[in-house]
Amino acid sequence: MNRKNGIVIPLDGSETAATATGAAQAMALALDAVLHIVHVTDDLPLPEEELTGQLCAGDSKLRDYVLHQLPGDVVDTIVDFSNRQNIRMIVMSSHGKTFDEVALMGHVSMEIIQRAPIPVMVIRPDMKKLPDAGWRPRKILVPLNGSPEAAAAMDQALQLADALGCSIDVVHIAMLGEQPPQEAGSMTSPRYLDYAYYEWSAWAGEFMARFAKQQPSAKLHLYHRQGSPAEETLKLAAESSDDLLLLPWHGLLQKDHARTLRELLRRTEVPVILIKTV
Amino acid sequence: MNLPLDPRREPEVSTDKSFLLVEKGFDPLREREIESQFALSNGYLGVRASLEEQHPESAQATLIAGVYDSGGIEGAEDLAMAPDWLYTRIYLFGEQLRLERESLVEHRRVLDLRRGVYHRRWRHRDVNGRVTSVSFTRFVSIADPHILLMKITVTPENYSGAARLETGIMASPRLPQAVRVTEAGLLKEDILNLIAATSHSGINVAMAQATRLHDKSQGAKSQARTGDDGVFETVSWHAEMGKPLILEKYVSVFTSRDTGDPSAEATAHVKKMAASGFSSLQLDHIEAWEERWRLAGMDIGGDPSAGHWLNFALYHLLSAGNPDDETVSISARALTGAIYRGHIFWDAETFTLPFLIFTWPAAARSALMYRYHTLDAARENALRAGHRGALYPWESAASGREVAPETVLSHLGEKVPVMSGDIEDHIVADVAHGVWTYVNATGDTGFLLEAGAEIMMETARFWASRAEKKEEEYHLLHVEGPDEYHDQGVDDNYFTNVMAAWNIRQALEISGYLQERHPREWSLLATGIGLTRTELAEWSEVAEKMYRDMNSRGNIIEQFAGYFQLEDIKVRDFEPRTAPLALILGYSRIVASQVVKQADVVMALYLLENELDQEIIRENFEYYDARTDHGSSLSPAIHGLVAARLGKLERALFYFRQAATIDLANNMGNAAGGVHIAAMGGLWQQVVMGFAGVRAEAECLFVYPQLPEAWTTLGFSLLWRGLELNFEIERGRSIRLKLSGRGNVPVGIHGGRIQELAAPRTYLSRWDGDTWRTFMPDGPASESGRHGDAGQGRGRSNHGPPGRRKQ
Repeated sequence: MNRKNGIVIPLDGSETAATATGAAQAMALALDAVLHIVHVTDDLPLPEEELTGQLCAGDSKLRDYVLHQLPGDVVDTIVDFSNRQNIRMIVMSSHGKTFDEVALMGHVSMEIIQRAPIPVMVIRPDMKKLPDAGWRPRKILVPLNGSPEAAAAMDQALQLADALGCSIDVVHIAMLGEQPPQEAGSMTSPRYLDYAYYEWSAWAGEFMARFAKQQPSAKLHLYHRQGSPAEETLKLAAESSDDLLLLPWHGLLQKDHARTLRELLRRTEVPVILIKTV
Repeated sequence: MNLPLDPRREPEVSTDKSFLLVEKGFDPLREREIESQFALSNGYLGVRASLEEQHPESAQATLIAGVYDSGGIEGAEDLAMAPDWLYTRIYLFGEQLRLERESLVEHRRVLDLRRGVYHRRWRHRDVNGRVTSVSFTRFVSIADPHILLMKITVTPENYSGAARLETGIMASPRLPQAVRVTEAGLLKEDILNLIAATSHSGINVAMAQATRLHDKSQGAKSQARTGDDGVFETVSWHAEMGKPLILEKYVSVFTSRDTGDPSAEATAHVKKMAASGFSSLQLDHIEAWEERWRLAGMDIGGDPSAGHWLNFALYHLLSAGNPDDETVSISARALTGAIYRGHIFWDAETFTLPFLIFTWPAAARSALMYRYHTLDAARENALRAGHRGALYPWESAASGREVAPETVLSHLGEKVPVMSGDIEDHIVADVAHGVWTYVNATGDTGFLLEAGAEIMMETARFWASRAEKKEEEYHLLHVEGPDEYHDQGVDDNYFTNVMAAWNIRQALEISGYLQERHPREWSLLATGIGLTRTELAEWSEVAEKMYRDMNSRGNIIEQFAGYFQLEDIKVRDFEPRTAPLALILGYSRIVASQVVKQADVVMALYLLENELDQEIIRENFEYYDARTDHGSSLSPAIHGLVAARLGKLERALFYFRQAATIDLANNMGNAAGGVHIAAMGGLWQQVVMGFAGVRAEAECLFVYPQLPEAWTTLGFSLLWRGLELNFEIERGRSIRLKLSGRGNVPVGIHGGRIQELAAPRTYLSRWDGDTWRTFMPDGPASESGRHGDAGQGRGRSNHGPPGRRKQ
């Protein structure tokens, strides 16, 4: 199987969608990948130069890309294209033409993250500092809830960190008022600590053995926090100067699902990569 | 190497499913906890149930009792890791068989708890569809603790072709505490020999390996290889479809702690083993297990899960005992994992030993002799702390010096003091309690004279020296009780105070007994340790006037001075949760609160039940149960025990289930580091001392069963003063007590009169709807039992009536 090595950025011609171009180009450069700009429209194709100008909102630094004007349903087309072209990651803004600060995401972006089988990097257009093409993430923060699915996401995180030359901060956040995951192989914070000086190190060793089992070249740090997962993740990301959040999730963003993810997407000040665990 | 086969038929796996621990498939996430659960041990050494081919998910370890090393850290004594004798790799057409999801057809592991034998079956399909069946059967012998055996069977199911099997003893990973290979060689008669040494403690570990093939018809050829990484034998053959290759691997282990020339011993031993044959050695092993189970086995009717959980606990408890080495005891995770570095805590005497005392006293005696052999170190500890007598270390290893760390690095990189090694002094009374319980149950005067009395005197002397007199009372200041949330020093911890006073009183009792019955030995002991009548009189005063909080808040005992002033927090208000309460509340808040880490006052309600009346026990249990976080695996079973004695059977069963599944469900999240052996000992105590209501007191063994509704019957055996007592309890109906051996023993219904029951004979007590009736002979007396004074009372027990209880 060919190694996946393309980056897709869907652009709809809006300024908000174009806020992700810096991050997309940065990822393409860092991963030595081809950058595909995908514009889905049923209108007649425009000349490439003209279209680029419209789509990229005047980002003149954008270079080394392939432009695709494709007809059809926007989400279907982008997902199909990503599958067919062996794409490694989709990079996109959380909103497109219909930017609304209150809404968590635009409807197209919302559908893409739920349907795309590959990692999706989401850029919030109102972040204080938007990544440009020279952006090189050095630290990725991965919150893990201790479920077996998290282990699968962590494999992808390690691969990405390897390719980007990043270190990874892993955080496990213990919660009050929550039942621990019930699946076999789950491991949350120790419910009890008998002799902390023996058991914390043993717990940390076992947690990392379960959820970061590949021998990574990336440097790993494990943090343990307790409280609200979103709050603690954002706090740690700020304290540790993490450049990127990598979030394992189940792929459903309907009402009452993925509360933590929603909050993180709404409040993040760094790009977020979503990795599906199912 | 191709020796004649032993013609005897191999025993099969136990047919009783309650004795089988089964794991199907392969879950890499859970692998290390499975290695703990399925560990094999014979008390001399323990082997985690790692996959033979050394899977990356394994935390492989072979641990030998007493083989400690510092790893270069001053004062450290950590259990060292011996070479991996399981090491086996199989190659087909040059490709190694690996346990991976894509190639897995079947994978099943079974630990036969009754026989102490581990079985693994693995079917592997390669990319060309070739299916190979591999099975391993292994055990560490309890008939001869230096014997480790494994049988490997490789069968090509649907192909024929070139196969290779490499098996040997591999040097452990280069961890600080792993032993280093110093010599590896091939000796005559194809015996492979390896010597490894600890890096600092100067202990040599010698292992020798011999193999034999069942059938040479497949043209198998063997070749040996030795090197820094270990010793190995490679067998190459042309595997024929459907035809198994069976290899028996014999490994013997000796250390320089056992003998002057461990290598020669291991070599000679392995030769003898190979000559005896796998089947014969396996039969010896299984017979030895049958003998262990005969007394230790328990039977619960109506609740199959409870029976299975108990068998799992009893298997590990029986695996942990070692009657042959008086210089080792049972560490926090026995020999199934190194998380607690092989250190010995109060877990041994207070939690694990009672099971051994009543079912396998030779193993209990040996573990108590460990405390005798470290008595000098305990005296030095006391001197260093400015006291007299013996101060046993909170964490102990080979030397008997304190090996608890003084400080640890916090997650912020700050040095944080660890106080338990300095002030958790109740260990002294816990050791004494273990000694007393053993002597009381066995009547082993020889042990008392040789070792027990000296431990009792020196521990009592410590308390007398440690106590401070203020006005007319004695106080123990700046201590840490079992509740380690309050770890920076508290005054007058109730458990410590009452156990200290008890320790002194028992020492005085023993001194009186020895002066009367063994005056010569007493004189030698008293002279040897400089004990005078004046000092004994001082002890008596300390015990009598030891401070006990009573009635400062009605019947509720204050756990330590000032406890009632702390913030009152009920732990159930913080459920559910996925974090330790100490973390949720924060260290400073938990220290300033009434949250209790583990049974503390409740531990005293159990151990010193005689000193309190039932109403006080009931009220204090309720008070502390609401405030106890059970932050130690030791705690749930003790709360369950006291709840059972109080007739709170639903709560008792809840705690029973919690304690029973600590390892099987990994419900504390730390089973990967080894099984919680003391929680298992606590579980046994909960059943016997709690649900069956056994109280082994100085004058009598009392019983008062109260079984939970889910249990219809309970059967178990105890050794009591040289006789075997077999109890069969039917809930709400009867207690059938069969006495085996010869002689009379005091046994009675708790709250009733003491009866002198004669053996051999069977007695019956019936539930009359209100209480258990006096034991009466059941059926005709056997010939030898007729002369006994069956059922004659000699007064009541000295307890208040336990009150109306459930049944």
